Amino acid sequence: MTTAGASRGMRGAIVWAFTGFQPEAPFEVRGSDGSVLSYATAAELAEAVKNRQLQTTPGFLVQAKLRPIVLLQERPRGVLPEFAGLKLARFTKLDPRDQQRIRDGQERALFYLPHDERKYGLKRENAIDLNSLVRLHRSVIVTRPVGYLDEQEIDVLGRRLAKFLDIDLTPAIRQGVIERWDQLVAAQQHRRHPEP
Amino acid sequence: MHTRVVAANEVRIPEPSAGEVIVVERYGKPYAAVIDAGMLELLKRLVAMFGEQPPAELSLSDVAVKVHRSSEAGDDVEDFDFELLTTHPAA
Repeated sequence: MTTAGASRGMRGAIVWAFTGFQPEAPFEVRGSDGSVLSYATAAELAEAVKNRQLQTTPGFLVQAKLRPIVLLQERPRGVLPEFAGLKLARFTKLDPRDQQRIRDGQERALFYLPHDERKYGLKRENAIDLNSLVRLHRSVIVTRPVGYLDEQEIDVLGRRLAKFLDIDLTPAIRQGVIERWDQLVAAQQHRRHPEP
Repeated sequence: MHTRVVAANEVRIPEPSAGEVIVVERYGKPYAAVIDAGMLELLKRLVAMFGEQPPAELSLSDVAVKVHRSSEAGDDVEDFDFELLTTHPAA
């Protein structure tokens, strides 16, 4: 298991951290008197806030899981305490054929990490779920990096993440191609018809 | 890109050679172009690459959804090795 850490920063680092489960209906909320209240819908909960039965920032009761996360961002100044990350998942419950599809890279939403404890610091093979983007406050991170993705893996992960976040990069690429094309045409015309 | 197919014996066009684009001009400006079949394939690929992007959720496979749900529920996640609290404590 690698002991690299502070020297390599946090982009592409695999750490263990507590991640909270997403609140979902029915909502369990801590009331003003400390009792636990349940609301079937978000609208009912908002109504309770409106009627001052709950504080304006009600405390949701959610579970948290200690799990491996790959961090996507560097925080060299330390002024932003939150990190964007993606959850790592096992896939042991799939049938063998589907497991092999992940290992073969045929599942674009799942970035396969083979068992390589020296590189990734994990005891099993895992997959990064491209649909699991989370924000983590640095205080919920339990370990320093146990492993790292390499630069190529980070690059591929970033491109795929943009796709799964429905961020369309093609207008920017298209604009770049058009600008380059215009430059080439202008240069060619200049060579054919140089200005006196 | 909408494609309208016209039979070759219904029109008269110059024969395009491989990699050649025949530009038909009107009043000194490009009006239409004739390209060969290879260039048409390239054009289709470019349209696919630079065309509108559908929502990514539409392309999610059953396998990806199963793993996502299982992971979000915390059902299939590697167990934490508590030795890491000693060997790799957070700064």
